[in-house]
Amino acid sequence: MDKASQHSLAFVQGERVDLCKAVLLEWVTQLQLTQISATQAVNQMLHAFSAIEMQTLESSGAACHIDAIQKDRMYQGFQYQDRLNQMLDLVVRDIHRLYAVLNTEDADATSLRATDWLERLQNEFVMAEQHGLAPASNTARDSEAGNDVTFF
Amino acid sequence: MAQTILVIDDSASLRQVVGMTLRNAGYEVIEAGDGRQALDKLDGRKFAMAVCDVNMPVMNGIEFVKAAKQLPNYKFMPILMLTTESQESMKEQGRAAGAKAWMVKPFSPSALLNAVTKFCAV
Repeated sequence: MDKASQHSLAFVQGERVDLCKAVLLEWVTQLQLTQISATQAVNQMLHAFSAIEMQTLESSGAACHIDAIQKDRMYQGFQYQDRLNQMLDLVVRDIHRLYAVLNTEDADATSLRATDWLERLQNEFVMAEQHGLAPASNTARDSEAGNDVTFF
Repeated sequence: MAQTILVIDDSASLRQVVGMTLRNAGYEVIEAGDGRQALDKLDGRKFAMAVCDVNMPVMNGIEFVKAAKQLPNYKFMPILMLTTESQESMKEQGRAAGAKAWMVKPFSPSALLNAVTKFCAV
């Protein structure tokens, strides 16, 4: 490859890196906005549910009775926002890490190997959903929710 | 007089869900957003037990358990770890630190109350 071709290739690669850096930061922003919006929505639902529960406790009648099983399911549903936040936090941290590597001229060669990168990332997974083993759905809820208690 | 439980989690919504579950069952609940805040609450008041998350900023749950076990007034306070972490190695760290139970989120309120009752028998 002649010098002109090398120069042209380096220029194109530099443009791609710049593109990645700009897009990665926007992805982080969008992910964080999504988390904030979803968390606010869940908190509002929790406050509303708490108020309904108070009314239920204060009224002795069955007019606003909440079925215990349905209540359990709602409580479990509320917890998925926290689960989702943990999953997205990890992705955001990884995007920042990638951005830092793209910004570093002399990045350690090992940090640029995709297999090493993904292995490190996967080692930080703590939930079945992160391994694609079970979606955050009824399957996960039924298999994990509350049944997995270990006493020491 | 109601027994008091210390609930430690960096997620406000999780603290609210755990708090609602325990308060509806007649317990008093004091909340903390991380291990450091929780240690500040251990100021002499009596807690029947603590329900503690693992992954938190500032001071994580394992560090909190270790620190609480160093305090004469709280070294026997039962601590239930309530976390998304289900790996055996993490459970072992919790056990070694001094936790009494390990429960995986998302929890069922009835199962949490069953576990709490084991430590808060009247």
